[in-house]
Amino acid sequence: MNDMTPERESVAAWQSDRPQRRLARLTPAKLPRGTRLLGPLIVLALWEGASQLGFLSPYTLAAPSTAVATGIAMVADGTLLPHLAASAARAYSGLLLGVIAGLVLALASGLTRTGEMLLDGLVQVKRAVPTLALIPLVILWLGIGETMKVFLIFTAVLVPVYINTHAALRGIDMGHVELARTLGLTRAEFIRKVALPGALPGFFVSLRLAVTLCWTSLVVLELINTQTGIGYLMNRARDWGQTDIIVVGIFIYAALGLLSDAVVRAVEARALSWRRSIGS
Amino acid sequence: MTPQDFKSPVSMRGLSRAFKGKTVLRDVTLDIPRGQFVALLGESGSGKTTLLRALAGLDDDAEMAGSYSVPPNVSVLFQDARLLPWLPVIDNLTLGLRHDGAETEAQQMLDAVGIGDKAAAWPGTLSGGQKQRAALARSLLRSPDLLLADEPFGALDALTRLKMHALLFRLVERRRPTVILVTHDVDEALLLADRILVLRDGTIAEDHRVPLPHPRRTSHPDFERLRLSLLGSLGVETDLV
Ligand SMILES: Nc1ncnc2c1ncn2[C@@H]1O[C@H](COP(=O)(O)OP(=O)(O)OP(=O)(O)O)[C@@H](O)[C@H]1O
Ligand SMILES: [Mg+2]
Repeated sequence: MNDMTPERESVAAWQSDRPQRRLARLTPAKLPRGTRLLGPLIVLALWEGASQLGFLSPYTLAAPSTAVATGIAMVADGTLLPHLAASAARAYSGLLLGVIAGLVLALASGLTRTGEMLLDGLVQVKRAVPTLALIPLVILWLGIGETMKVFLIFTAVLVPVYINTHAALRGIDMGHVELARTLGLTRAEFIRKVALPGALPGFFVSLRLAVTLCWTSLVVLELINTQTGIGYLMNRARDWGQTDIIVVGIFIYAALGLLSDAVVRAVEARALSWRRSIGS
Repeated sequence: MTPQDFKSPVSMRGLSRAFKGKTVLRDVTLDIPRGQFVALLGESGSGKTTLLRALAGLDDDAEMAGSYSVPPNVSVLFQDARLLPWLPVIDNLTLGLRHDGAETEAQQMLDAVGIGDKAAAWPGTLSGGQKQRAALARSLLRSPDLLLADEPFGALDALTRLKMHALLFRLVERRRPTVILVTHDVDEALLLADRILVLRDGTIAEDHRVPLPHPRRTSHPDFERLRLSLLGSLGVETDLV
């Protein structure tokens, strides 16, 4: 033990003699919680400042503080929530149907040759046709009511869910497929234990796109024959020059977008907890 | 025709394989008796993996001639452990096992390979050696009649590799499956195998028995003699080693 000591000391000396060589990190470090709100907060502050100092007329753009006050007043007198509820009902029923359909189509096309032959081309065609271009036709088929709106959101959401999930299923690690074959997995076991978990990260990417896409499709659709919804509120406000209400609508979209994304991320982190173990 | 515990020997008759017209295995004829531990040596690109994958029933899109037969219950041990990262270690072991008590057997097998405490861990948190132990446990849990191992310890450090040799030997001793172990490591082959085949240009160029008793010592003079002769077969200048 005693004769080890000098050697230890020399090692310590050697370490402190030279500057430690550190490897370049190359990827950015993980952000502390909530810091990704920094950019939006700076824009808000500049906007508010410009309004207070009179650079921005309320007829061009209402100040954030005015919009917040208007929003609170609208919640208090009960004019906002029914519209929000109507929009949410449309957006989320379209989202639900679109995610289910996109997933089912992706599985059918990603796991079977017949499915790919029949479905992949169709979805690619749908992808190339803008949702707006479908509106006239869908109005002829489904009328101008709720069904038409939910249907169009559904078709818009379906596309990214299909594309990402399908790509993830097709990009499955061939090593894992070989393993499944040598272990004698049945097709059902292979799909449940290998293909689906492997495609889950791709599915979550598509889900993050879908939760905001369902709302963006909605604004346009709420121009058509409706007396409810955030999109309707905003368009009516335009007619009356009420920029504060328009800003309330924008804030609602932004808040919903951030919130939905956070929810999907949280679910993703739980479902893909095995990933955290790899690397840092 | 095969009763449950029947282990038919491994045999190949004029087995040839080609990829896009390029012949990789040429007319391989080989019989391996039940329970024999065979090491397959050969220079890089000589077709070792191809032979193993043929026996495992993989690469079925390659052009093939001749025939082969293997026992019904074959396990494959890959060089990369191939654990599914989204299943805890124990679920990787029981993957595809449908009988009752598979979980208990899996835990016992994990204990046997020395990572009993890792049953609930994600594979991504294991070290390379631990992953390969888990993969070995997964292969042996199936009580194979034939174990096909393609350089399973190739990526491990020398010390871990020595431990894995002892472990593999001990576990294989228990149930005596037929083993074909592809390796680059002549010492590994000499420590473990009953028989050593050298593959050259897609054919079995040499076929050696290893008459040394177990446990084997690298210091044994016969060991040294066989080692030099095998290194020569593999094109290594033996006076430098
Ligand atoms: N799927 C494939 N398609 C085309 N060529 C292949 C394929 N698999 C193997 N080969 C070719 O067959 C030859 C033998 O390959 P193989 O992997 O069997 O060599 P090996 O003996 O295992 O080599 P190593 O010791 O480097 O692993 C190589 O020339 C390789 O390029
Ligand atoms: Mg190989």
